[in-house]
Amino acid sequence: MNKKVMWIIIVVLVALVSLFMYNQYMAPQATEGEKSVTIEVVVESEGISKIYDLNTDAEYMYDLLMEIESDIQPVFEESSFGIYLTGLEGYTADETKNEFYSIKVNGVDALYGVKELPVIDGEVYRFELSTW
Amino acid sequence: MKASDITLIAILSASLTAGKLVLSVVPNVEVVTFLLIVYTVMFGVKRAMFATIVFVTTEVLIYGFGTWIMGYYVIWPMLILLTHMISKHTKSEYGFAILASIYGFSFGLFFALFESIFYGISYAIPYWISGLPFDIVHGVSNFIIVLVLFNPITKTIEHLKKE
Repeated sequence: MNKKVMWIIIVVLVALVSLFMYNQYMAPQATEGEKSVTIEVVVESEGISKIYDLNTDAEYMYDLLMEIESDIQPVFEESSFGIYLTGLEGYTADETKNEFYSIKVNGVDALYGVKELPVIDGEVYRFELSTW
Repeated sequence: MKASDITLIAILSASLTAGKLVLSVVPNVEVVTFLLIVYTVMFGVKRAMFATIVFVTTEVLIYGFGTWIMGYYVIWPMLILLTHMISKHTKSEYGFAILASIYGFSFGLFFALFESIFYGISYAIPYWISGLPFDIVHGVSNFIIVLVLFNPITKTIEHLKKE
């Protein structure tokens, strides 16, 4: 076998193993079962301030938002990096005004987007329209 | 600096920007690392360095200013210096492929450390960990790109230089 092809196969295999290990041990882990969580939505400029106390089996925030889709009206945008939350409660963040929805978990900036953000019992998720 | 050097730097920096834009739809697969290694080996540190500065400045014009841009002004020139050091010892594509690969793998770590200057180490650690899958893709793609393309491209440039 060509030496270069062999090295490429080895490196790709090592990468696949590394990605598997990452997903197993380092990626955010969701938990199954019922959880009680709070979602706050704040769009100050539009006078929107809503609180949802929810019981859910959803493992990730995206699933939870879709569970209450008719109430919270989430809007998502797809990009090569994944799904972005761009709208809530009928208001879509205006990119030309540098607006975006910041996500805070118990008052701390979330480290993941809605697709990867695990829903954990007792946590408070705050979606607030912010500017960058 | 000669007019031919200025023209060459313009072409090199334009190719860096074009290469970056073309692959921007694929997260963390890029040819900038590869091109900078080739340019350093083929045209020397000085020209590659100027091309990099023009390239990074063009990034500011395209994407706007952010703290990441300061990291770019450090990380790309650093790659040129490392390539120059390695090229004194070997011209093998394997050596440069390993350099490009390590560069890709540590890209997130570098930016995590750099961003920690502004936002603190408690921001840097999750930033780095959450970006690890992208670093793995970056390292592997860099390795493959350099290993496959280094020889054909350097030979073509060598041929063009002779003409």
